[in-house]
Amino acid sequence: MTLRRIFALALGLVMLAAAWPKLIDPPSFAQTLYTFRILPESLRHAVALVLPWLELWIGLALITGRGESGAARWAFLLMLGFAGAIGLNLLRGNPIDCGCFGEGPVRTAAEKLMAMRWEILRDLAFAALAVPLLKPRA
Amino acid sequence: MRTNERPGRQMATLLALAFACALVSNALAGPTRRLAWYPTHPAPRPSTNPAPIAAAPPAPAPPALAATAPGPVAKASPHPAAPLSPAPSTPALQDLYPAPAHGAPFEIEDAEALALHRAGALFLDARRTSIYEEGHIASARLFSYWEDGLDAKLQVLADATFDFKDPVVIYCSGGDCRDSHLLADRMWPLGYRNLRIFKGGWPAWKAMGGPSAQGREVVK
Repeated sequence: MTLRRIFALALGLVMLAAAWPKLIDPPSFAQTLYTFRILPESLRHAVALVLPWLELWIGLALITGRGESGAARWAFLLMLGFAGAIGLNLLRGNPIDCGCFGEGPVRTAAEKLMAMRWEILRDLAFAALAVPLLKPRA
Repeated sequence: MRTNERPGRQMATLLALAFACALVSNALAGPTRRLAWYPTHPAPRPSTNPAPIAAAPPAPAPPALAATAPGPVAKASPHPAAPLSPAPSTPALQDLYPAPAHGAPFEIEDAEALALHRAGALFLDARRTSIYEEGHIASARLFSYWEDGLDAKLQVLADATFDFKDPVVIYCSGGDCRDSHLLADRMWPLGYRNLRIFKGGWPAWKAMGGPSAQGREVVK
C-alpha cells in the first residue's frame, strides 16, 4: 500500500466520522452553526443539510479511490474552512463547541476556548493529510 | 462517478450527490429530524398588527404568588399542555403582568417565572423534542426552534384568539442557551408584545421544584 493510499484512507475515515453525527441530526448541526455566528440565517439550514452529505461522499470517494483528487480538494478546503471558522471565534473570544464530530462534552467557557486551539491544529493537520492527494494520479 | 482524473468535475459531482441526498433524506426525515431549507417567517395577524404600546410599568411578581412554596414535581403523569388557542384575552393576567412600554422581549428571573406559571400564563419550550420529553415545565407547549414545523405552529398561535398583550414565557436550557431568545425574536414581528424570556430555563425550574412533566406534549 502506497503512502498516498494510506493518507487517503485516513482522511476518508475522518470525513466519515465527521459526517455521521451530523447526518443523523441536522437540527443539532444547524444549532451548532448558529453558535459560530458566521453564516447568515438564510444559508445556515442549507449548509446544515448539505455539508454532512458532502463529508460522507468525500469520505467514500477517498476510501474507494474513485474521484480521489476531487474529494481531497474538498477535504482540504473544508478543513481550512473549519480551522478558519474556529480561529475567528477564538479571536472574538466566543467559546464554541465546534461540533466537528458530533456533540462534545459539557465544558466551561475557558475549557472551550482551550479546546478550540487544539481543534484548529487538528483541522490543519487533517488539511495537511490532503495535500499529497491534491494532484491527480499520473 | 467518473473516475477520470478531472478534479473540478469530481468536486462538482460530489457536491451534486450531496445536494441530492440532502433533499431526499430531509424529505423522508421525521418531524424532529427535519430542517426547513430556508427559515420563513409567518405573516402577522392583520387585525392585531403591532402598534405602539402605552407605557406600562413592569409589574413585580405578586407577593402572594411569589411567596408561595413551589408545588410538587409531577414526574410520571404529564400535565396537559395549554391549547394553542387559549381563552380569549385574560385581563387579569394582562393587568398583573402588563406588556412593557418598549414592547421588546425581556428576561425574567426564577420567582417571576414561577408566579406567571401559577397565574396561568402560556409557557413555550424552545428546546429540542427529545429534551422536552425528558422533562419540561408542566403545561408548557413545545415550540422547538430548531425543528421543522415551528412556522406552522407560530401561524396557528397567531391566528388563534390569543391576545398579543398577554404574557408569554419562553424558556430553554438556561446558561448560554439562546434558543428562547431566537424564538422570541421570531415571535416579536408577529405582534407579540409581552414576551418574557425565563433566563434560568429548565435547570433553574427543576432546581426550585416547579411543577414539571415528562413525555410527549399533550394538548387538551
